Amino acid sequence: MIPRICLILLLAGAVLPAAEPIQPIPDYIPVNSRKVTLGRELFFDPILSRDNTISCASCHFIEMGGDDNSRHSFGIGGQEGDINAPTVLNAVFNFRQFWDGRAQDLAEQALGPIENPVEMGHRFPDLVRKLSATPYKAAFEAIYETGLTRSNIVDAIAEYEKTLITPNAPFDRYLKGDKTAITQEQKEGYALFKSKGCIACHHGINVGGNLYNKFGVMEDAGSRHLGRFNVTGNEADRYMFKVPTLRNIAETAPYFHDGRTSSLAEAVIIMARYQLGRQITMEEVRRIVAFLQSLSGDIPDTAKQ
Amino acid sequence: MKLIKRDTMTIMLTGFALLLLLLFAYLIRVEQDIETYNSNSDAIASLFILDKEFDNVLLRKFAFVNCDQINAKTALFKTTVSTLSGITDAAPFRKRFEYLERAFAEKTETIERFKSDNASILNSIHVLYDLQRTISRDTTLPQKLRTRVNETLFLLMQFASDIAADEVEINRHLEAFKAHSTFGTHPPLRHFYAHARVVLNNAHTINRLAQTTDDHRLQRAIMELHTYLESRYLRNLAIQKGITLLFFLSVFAVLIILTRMHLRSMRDKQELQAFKFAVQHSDNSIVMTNADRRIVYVNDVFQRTSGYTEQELLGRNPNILKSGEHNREFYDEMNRRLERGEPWEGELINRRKDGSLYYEKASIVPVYLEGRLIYYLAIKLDISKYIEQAKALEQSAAVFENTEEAIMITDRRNRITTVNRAFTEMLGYEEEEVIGKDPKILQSGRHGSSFYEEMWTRLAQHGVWHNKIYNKTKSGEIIPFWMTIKAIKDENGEISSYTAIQTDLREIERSQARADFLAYHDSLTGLANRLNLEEYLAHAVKVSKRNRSNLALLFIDLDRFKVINDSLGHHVGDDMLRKVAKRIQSVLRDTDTIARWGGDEFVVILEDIRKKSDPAHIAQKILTIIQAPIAIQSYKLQTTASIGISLFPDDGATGAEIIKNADSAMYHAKSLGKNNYHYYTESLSVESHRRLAMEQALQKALEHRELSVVYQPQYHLETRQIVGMEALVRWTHPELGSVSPSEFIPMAEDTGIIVPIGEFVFEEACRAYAAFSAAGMKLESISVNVSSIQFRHEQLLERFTAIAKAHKTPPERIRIEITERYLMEYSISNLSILEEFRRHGFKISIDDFGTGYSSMNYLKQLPLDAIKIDKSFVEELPHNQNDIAITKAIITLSNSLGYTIVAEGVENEAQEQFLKAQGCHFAQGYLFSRPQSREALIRTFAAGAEPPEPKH
Repeated sequence: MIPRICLILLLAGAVLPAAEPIQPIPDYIPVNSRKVTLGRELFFDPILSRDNTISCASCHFIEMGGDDNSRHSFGIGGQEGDINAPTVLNAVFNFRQFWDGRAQDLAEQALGPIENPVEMGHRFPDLVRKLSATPYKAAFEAIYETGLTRSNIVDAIAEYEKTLITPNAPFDRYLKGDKTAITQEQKEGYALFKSKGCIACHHGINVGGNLYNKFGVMEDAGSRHLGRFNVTGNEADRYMFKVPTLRNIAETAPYFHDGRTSSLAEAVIIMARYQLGRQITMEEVRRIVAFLQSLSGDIPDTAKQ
Repeated sequence: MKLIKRDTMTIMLTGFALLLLLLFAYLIRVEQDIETYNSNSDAIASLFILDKEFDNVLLRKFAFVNCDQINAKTALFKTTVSTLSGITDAAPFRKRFEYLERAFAEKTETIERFKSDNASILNSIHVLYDLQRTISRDTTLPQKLRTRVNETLFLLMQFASDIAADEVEINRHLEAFKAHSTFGTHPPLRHFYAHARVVLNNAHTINRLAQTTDDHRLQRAIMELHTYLESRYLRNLAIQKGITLLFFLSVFAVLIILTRMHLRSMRDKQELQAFKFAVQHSDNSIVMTNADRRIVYVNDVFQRTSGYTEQELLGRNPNILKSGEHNREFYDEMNRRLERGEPWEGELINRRKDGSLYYEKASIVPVYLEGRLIYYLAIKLDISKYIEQAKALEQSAAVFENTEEAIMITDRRNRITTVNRAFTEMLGYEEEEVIGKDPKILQSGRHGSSFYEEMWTRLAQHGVWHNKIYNKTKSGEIIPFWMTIKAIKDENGEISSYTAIQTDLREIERSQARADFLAYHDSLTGLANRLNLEEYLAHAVKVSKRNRSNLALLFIDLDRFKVINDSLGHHVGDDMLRKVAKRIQSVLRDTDTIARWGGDEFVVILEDIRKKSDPAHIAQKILTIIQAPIAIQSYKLQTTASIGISLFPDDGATGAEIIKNADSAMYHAKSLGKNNYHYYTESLSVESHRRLAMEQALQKALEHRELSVVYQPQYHLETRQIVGMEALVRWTHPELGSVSPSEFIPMAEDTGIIVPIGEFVFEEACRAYAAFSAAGMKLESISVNVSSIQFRHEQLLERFTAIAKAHKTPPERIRIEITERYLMEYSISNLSILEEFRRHGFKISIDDFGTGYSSMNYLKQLPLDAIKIDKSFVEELPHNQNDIAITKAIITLSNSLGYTIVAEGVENEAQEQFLKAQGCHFAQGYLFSRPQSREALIRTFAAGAEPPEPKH
C-alpha cells in the first residue's frame, strides 16, 4: 500500500505547475499613439450609436473596472441587453473576445456593439457617411491611407483599447519580488487558489481569458445562455464560455455572463460548487476573495478621457 | 561616311546601355523573387515547427499548461499564415492555402477543446487528491471502502498517465462506491465518484483529440503548400535563368560588335593620324587648295618658310606669295598643265611675308576624286639655303687663299690634301711638295712624343686642339705657331678631315715677353713693382690666413732722398736707389719679398714670423745697412730711412689695409725723428724698442756684473727655525734700473743666455751655502731654480757637480727647482735626467705646484723630493674655499707620497696658521723674511757671536 501512495504523490507532482502560473501585466505595450488618440475620441463619442446616445464608454466605465456594474447593459432607446458586459480592461490579453469567443480580436469585437440593434444599432455604411461630415474624416485620412473606413474605425478603437491595461496590481508587485505587496491572508488565498484547482482555468497574464470551459462542469449551473454552442452548433460546446479574466475582479461586479451575483464571495462559492465540485469553508472563501482583491491594478493616465 | 559610322556607333552604344539597364532591372527582380521565396520558405518552416509544437501540447495531457503560451503559438501561426496569403491568386495556390486554413481551424478547435478538458481533468485530479485524504482519515467509513478509494485513485492516475489501466476495474470500483450505503449521505464519497467520472470521460475525449492529430492534416496542408511553392519557384528560376542567359548572350554579342567597330575605327584613325603627322612634320612645305584655289591646308614648314600663319593663309589664294621674279608666261604654262589635270614641277621664287625672297622646288598635283577636281596639292622644298651656301662657298675659298694664317687640311689618314698661300709662304714648301705627305715633316723636334699623343687624344675626345707649337720650315727655321686643329666630321659623325690653322707667334712673343716683364718689374732696380707686390701680398695674406701665421710688412722710405735727387741730378738718385735696393736685399732671407713701391719707397714682406718683435730686428738691420756711406761717381753719400711696420692679421684684414697702415706707421716714424722704425700698433713699437735694448743689455749683464743673487729663507712651521734658502737672481741695469726676473728670465731663455746666467746663479748659491754654514746656520738645503733650457744643455749635470765640488757643497744640500709646466712638457726625457741628478745626490723640487695640469697619478711616478705650493693658492688662504681645497689636497697627497712640502708667499699669520694646521712642513714669504743678500741674512739670522763670513 505504501509504494502506491508514493506513486500517487509522484503523479500528483506532475499536474502542479513548475513556474508561477500567473504573469504580471507589463507597464506598457507598444502602440501607435496617433491611432490611440483617435481611438480614444471614438471610444467616448456617442456618435457611434445611431441616435447619438450611446458610446463605448456608456457600458465600459474606464475608471470603474471597465464595465458598467450592471447585470445587463442598456442600448439605444433604453433597450436592455441580455448578457453582462465584460470589462474592457486588459481585454487585449484575452485570446478571444465576447463571452462566447466569437471575435478573434479587439477590432472584430468592436464591430459587434456598433451593429447590434439593442446596443448602438448602427450600420457601417451609415456610420461612415455620418463621420465623413465631421473632423473625423480628416483625422482618419491623416493616419490611414484608406481614410475613413469600417475597418479603420474599429482599428483605431482597438488601438486605444490596447492602452487599457492595469499594471502595478499588488499581486503583480508581489510576483515581481515585492514580498510585502500583499498581506499574509492574500498569500494564503493565493495558495488556496492554486491548491483548490482554480488555477487550472484562471492563469496566465490575465488570470483567465485564455481558454474556454464549461459553465457547470460538475453539475448543471442553470445557464440560460448556451455559450459557444451558439457559435459552433457543436453539442460539445453547450455552456462553453470563455473563462473570464480575474484582473480587477473586485471592481467588475456583478459576476458571470448573467450577472447572477454581485458578491465576490458568493461567486467563489458558485465556482467551487459548479466548476470544482468541492466543499469549501467560509474561511477559505474569505482568503481567496482577499487574494482576488490584490489583482486590481492602475489604469494608465493616457487611457483616461 | 564618318558621320554615318558614328551614328551606328551611338545607336549601338545606346542599345548596349539599355540592354545592360534591362538586365540590371531584371536581375533585381530575380533577386527580389529569391528573397520572397526565402522568406516564404522561412515562414513555412516555422509553420512546420509550430504544428509540431501543437502536437506536443496535445500530448501534455493531465499536466498544467499555461494557455497563454499555447495562444501565443496559435496567434503566431495565424499571422504567419496571413503573410503567405498574398503570394498569388493562382487557383492551385488558393486551393492549397484554403486547405491549410481549414486544417488550421480544425487544429485550433482541437486545441481549444484540449485546453478546456485538460483544465477540467486537472481540477478533478486536485479534488480527487483532497478527497482521498479526507476519506482516508474518515474512520466512520469502513476500512474496505477507504482502501477501495485509494485503489481507485491509483488506477485513475495510472489511467491518466497512459499506464495500462483497467478501465473496467475503475468502473467496477466506482459502481461499488455508488452502491455503498453511505454514498448518498457522504458528500466526499459522492464528489469522489463525480470527479472520477469527469476524469474518465474527459480522458476519453482527450485521447480521442490526440488521435485526431495522428492524421497530420495540418502538416500535410503545410507540406502541400510548401511543395507547390517550391515547384513554382524552381520553374520560375529555370525561366529566369534562361532569360538571364539570353540577356547575357545579347549583351555579349553587342559587346563583340562594338569592340570590332571600335578596333576598325581605331585603325582608320591611326592611319589618318600617321598620314597627318607625316604631312605636318614633313621637311617639305605642303599646301592644299580647293578647286577654287583657296588654301584649305598648310603644314608647319609652309608657315615657317613663308612667314605667314595658318590663320592668314586659310581661304587665301596662294598667289599672295608671288614675288614678281617670274614672268606671265611662266604662270600661264603652269596653269595650262594643271588645268589639263597634269602635275607641274619646277622652281619658284617666292616672297615671304617680310618681303624677302626664297627659292623653292615645287611639285603641284591636281587631286581628283570620282572624276571631279577636289584639291590642288603642292609639295615644295625650300632650296634657298643651298643657293646661299653655294654663294658662301665662293667667299670662303677667297678667304682661304688670302688669309695671313697658314692653313693645312689633311684627310682622315692625316695626309695633307690642301694648303693655302700663307702656308707655302710661311713654311717654304710648294703645294705639290706637301700634298699627300704626313704633316710630320713640319715637326721641329722640340716636343716630346707625349705632346703629340696628347694632341691626338684631345682631337679624338673633343674634336679640337689648340696649343703653341714649334714647327720647322723647309729651310730648317723653327717658328713658334699658335695652332688650332679641328676634326671635321661627316654626317655619320666619322672624322673626315682635319684643318690646322697656324698663326706665326714670333712677333707676338717678342712683344709679350717685354710687356710681361715691364708689367711686373721696376725697370730701375729690377725689383718687383707695385702691381707685382700687390698681387703677391694678396696671395701671401691668404696663405697666412690658412696657416694661422703672422705676416709683417715693412714700408721703407728714404729720408731726404728728394734733396739728393734735386741737387745732384736724377742719375745719381737712380744709382743710389739701385744700391739701396741691393743693400736691403742683402739683409733679407730668400723667402722674404722686396718691391719698389715707387720713388724712394720700398716694401718688404716677411712671412711666417714667429714673434711680433722679429720684424723690429729686420727693420733695425735695414736701418743699419742703409746708414753706411754709399759711393756714387765721385760722391760719398749717406742716407737714412724711416720704416713703418704693420702685421697681419693684427693690423688689417687685407693686403691693402696692411700696406696703408705700414705707410702711416712709416710717417709716424719719420715724424719721431727719422732713421727709425715704428709699428702701426703703438705699444708694439715701445715694447720692441725696450725689448731690443733689454736684450742687448742682458747680453752684457754678466760681463758687466749687473746680476746678483738674493736668498729667501725657508723655515719650519712648527719650530720657526730656518731650514733652507731659495736662491733668486736679480738684475740691476744702470739705465733700465731693476728688471723683474719674470721679464728678463724668459728673454734669457729665448736668447739662450739663460745657460751662463743659470750657471752663475748655481755657483753663487753654492758659495752662499758655504757662507751660511760657516756662519753657523744649519741649512737642510739651498734651492736653485733651473730652467728647462738649461736641461737641454748636455753637460749641465757635469758642470753642476763640478761647481758644487769646487765650493765644497754636498749635492744633497742642493735642491733643484723645476716648474710643473716644464715637467708636463718634457715628461719622458726629463724623468731620466732628473733621475740622473738624484743619483748624484741632488734633491728635486717642483716649483709653483698646482698651476700645471699634472695628474695626481703622474705625480707618483716622478723622482721628487719636495713640492712647493704656489703662492697664488696661498694668497687667499684661509678664505677662498677653492684654494683651501686645493691646498689641502696637495698637502694630503704629498704627505702620502713622502714629499716635503714648502708653501710659498706666506704673508700673514692666518695663512701660516692654516698651513701649519693642515700639516704643511715649511714655508717662505714676507711674513718671515723677504729675499735678502746673503750678508744681510747672516747678519739677521746667524748667532751674534759668529764671526763674519769669509770673503772669497
